[in-house]
Amino acid sequence: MFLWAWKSLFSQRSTLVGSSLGIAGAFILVLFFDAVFRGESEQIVAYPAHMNPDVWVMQAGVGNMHMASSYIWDWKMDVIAAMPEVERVTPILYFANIIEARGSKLFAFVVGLQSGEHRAGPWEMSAGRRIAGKGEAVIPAVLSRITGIGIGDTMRITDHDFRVVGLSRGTYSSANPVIFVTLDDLADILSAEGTYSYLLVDAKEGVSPKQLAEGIRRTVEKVNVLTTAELVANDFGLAMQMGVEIIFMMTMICSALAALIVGFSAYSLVARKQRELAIVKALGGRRGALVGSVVLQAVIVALLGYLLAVVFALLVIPQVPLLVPQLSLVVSIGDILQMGLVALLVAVIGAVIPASLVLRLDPALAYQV
Amino acid sequence: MFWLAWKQLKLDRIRTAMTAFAVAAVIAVILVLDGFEQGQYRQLERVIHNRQADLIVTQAGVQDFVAARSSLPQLTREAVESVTGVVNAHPMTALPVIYRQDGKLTPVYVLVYDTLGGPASLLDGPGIRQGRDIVIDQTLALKYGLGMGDEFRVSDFSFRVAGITDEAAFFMPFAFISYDGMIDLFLESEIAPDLSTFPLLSFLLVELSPQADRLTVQRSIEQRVPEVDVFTPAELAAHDVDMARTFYRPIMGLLVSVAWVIGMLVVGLVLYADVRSRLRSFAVMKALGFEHRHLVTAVVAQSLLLMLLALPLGALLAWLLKEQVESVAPVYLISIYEPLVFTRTLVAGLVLAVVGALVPLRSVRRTDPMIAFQGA
Amino acid sequence: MTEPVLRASHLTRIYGSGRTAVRAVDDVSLTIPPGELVMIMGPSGSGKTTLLSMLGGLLRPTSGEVVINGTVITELDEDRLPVVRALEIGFIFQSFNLLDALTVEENILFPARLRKGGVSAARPRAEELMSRLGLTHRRRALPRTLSGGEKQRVAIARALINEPKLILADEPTGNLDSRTGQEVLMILHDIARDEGRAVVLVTHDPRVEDMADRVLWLEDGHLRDRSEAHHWARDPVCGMKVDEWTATLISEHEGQRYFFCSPRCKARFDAAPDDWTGG
Repeated sequence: MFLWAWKSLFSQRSTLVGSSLGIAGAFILVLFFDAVFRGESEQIVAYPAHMNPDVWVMQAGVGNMHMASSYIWDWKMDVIAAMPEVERVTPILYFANIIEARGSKLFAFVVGLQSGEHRAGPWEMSAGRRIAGKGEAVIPAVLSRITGIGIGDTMRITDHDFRVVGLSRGTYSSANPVIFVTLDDLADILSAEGTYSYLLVDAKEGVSPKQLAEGIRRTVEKVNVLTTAELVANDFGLAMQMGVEIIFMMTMICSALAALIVGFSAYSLVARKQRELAIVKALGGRRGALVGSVVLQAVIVALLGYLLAVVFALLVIPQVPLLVPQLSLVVSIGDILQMGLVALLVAVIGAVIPASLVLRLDPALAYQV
Repeated sequence: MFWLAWKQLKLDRIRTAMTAFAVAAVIAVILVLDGFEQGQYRQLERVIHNRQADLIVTQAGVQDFVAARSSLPQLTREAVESVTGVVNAHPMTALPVIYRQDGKLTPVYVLVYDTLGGPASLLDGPGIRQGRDIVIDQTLALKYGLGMGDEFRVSDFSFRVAGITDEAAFFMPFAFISYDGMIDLFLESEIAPDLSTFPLLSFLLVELSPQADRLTVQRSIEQRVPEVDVFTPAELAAHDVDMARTFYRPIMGLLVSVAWVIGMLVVGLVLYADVRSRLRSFAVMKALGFEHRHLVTAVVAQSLLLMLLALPLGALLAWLLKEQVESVAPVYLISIYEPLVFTRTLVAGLVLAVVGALVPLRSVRRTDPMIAFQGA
Repeated sequence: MTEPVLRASHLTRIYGSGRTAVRAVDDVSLTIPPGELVMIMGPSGSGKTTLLSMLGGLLRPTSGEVVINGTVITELDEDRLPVVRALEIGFIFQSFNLLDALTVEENILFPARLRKGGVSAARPRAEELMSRLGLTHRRRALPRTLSGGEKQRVAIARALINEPKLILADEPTGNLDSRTGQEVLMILHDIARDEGRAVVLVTHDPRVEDMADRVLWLEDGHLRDRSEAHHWARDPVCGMKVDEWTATLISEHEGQRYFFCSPRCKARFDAAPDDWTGG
């Protein structure tokens, strides 16, 4: 019966291809959603991950950078800088706002750096130079591609104009593009003189991040101290948690859709081959084998769709940002494997109605004309 | 031929139901995706209109409300209130925070208000009556199991839940505190050298006298206080929606396009399978004298009828999905009842039906009437 | 002299080309006046269905001409042929080919959509046909609930609804039991005799021979009249009656020809012919 199942499925190639493509589409939707959230989440933590100081110091009760606001009194930096474990402290101001460039408005995170300070600045430049003084900005190269704004052009943050002097690499995601300006400029915009958002603290050699963090907690009150790994985990966790509900719902919806397509394909095949199946029954074919053949067909169709989706996910999805640079997409093997399990489940669910049709088939159909 | 197509669909009800359901599921996915995007925009609009201001004052150069940092000097309020036609300039401050409990993180948009701009309605609780009270969106209550009187820690500062509301936007539930609460929070957190100069004010919600002309007052404020911009709620909402569109459109546009492609595949597949199984009937019809255009009409008619069955079913499925999603995650609004969303989906669905019908037409054209002579 | 309903002249149909070319029908000419029932017989693969398809305008001949009621259908393009099929020809198939989704009445009335007046004008005719063919009580039944005989009667009614002058029937009793087959043959006979239609019947059913006005034999693409008498031979091994015209298993022994019903009988005979001939 399994040979029959295989052969009859492949005898209708166009239908098989159509079904598989439909199922693949449903799985691709989910994998794409996963890739969007994973890509955005990874990009969201790009800045703290690349800066990678031993510890980050921020406002008490704040444990994130993304979508957070943090203020620390500036004297706390001097206290930390004076600690024997500390090699270096780099302050930044940081806020999220709308920026205007060439008529486009975009959401962005703006990092204010001390003049001449590159420790907390862009880690890779694709064009131009880093900021040297007030009124200058470095923007993500992808942002430049999207908006058409280039080196020498002007962009606006609130009512302050900035001249673009450089394009950075690795600093763009649609939820979290990072723009660099001077700390003084940002303090003007925020009216936040005497305040920093985050302190990047590098330890002296031989001092571990954990030791440094404990030292700072003992020394300075009303601050939160996190290692880079902890801050990155918090931000990544936040981004993924924001997406987990939607991803779950999309997975459910698209899996149901895939199950319907599988069910329809299997049902059509059974309906078309009713007479053959009736003949098999009349000849003594067992119910288990008949149902098994239907399930096998459903599994084959679902798996074909899944494999097509996987190929698409691995080959095409990573290329999408070339055409749509606003998107950061990361395809995870874990998500793909999870989708495989879903595909099997989809196959079994999709086979229910066709299997019941097979069980109800009257062997006398074999005699009908 | 519509009559024949209808009879054909009625013949195998299970298959027709499965097919209509599959197409309806695609329609539902599209409605939900589209509705999700529109819902984001509606939420942004609602946030602004719920503040019940006649005009809204922002920092000069700031043209948005949500996710835009606006910072006004504290003396701005006095200057605005001195303009003719202004009854009151109610202060409002926006504080984005990350709420953490039991290892779960949620970004929360905290709005600090004084005499106007608080929660538009309360689902539970009396609302803010003292400094440490906080009103939270139902999403937070559901996610963290919070109820009246429970602690809600913001930046290590403890508030007490005094009300549950329904207000969220841009993936963030909102929360409301009073200025007393905010000052206590800032003082305890030691964030700034001098709170009297620290930017505590984000917006001013302007209340006009009944006879004041909005446009005139708007211009007057901008002239009198050049360091601010003034907008009507509708203008500000439109800016926020535009900004959100640049964020959502690429992603949602791609998702909806993929969903439509799936829809076309499903419709095409269904019709192709159906036509293949009925080639003999088409051959007989040709033998009986029916022309190719009759057969095309029959196939297109079947596709359209299927779509007409699937569309209301899809709308119902979408509604069920919407209710389910919003009850599990009330931070999202899925706005499928927008005329634009429905109309777009309806028209696209009908076009899809016709395009999907093209898939099997080659088979129909090539059907040899001599098949009618072959054994069944 | 009455104008023939059907006139086919030098019809040839070749499948394939070059060395693999097969002449399924080879220079066949045929004229059928109104009211004649013509039977076409022949072995399997002799080209009967090909011939019938060409006569009905479903297949283009490689050469030759077909004229139906004065219209040269072989000169019509595919856009104009359907009209002829709809109004001039009624097809009856071995597999009935009813539309599964339509009731008996709807199946019968289906081709009426193609004529002037449409379904409503054809209703009285449909009523009459259903009554005549004993289908009135089954008018709302779907094909899957009908017996073979009922299905074929519906098919006949459908073929007659547009009152075509020519009926082409391909093995109309092939899937029916003896009694039902008899009924159907009588109906076709009456259609020819009483309604003056030309009926062409492709069949293996020997009963038709006795009632057909003409019996034609198609073999190797050639058509000949089988009006001369022929006789039945007996298989010397099993004793079954075998039609000399259709027999393909033949052995010669001592100057006499013997006809067999099956290869098994022939093999047994060839092994020991004297045992079977009494020689």
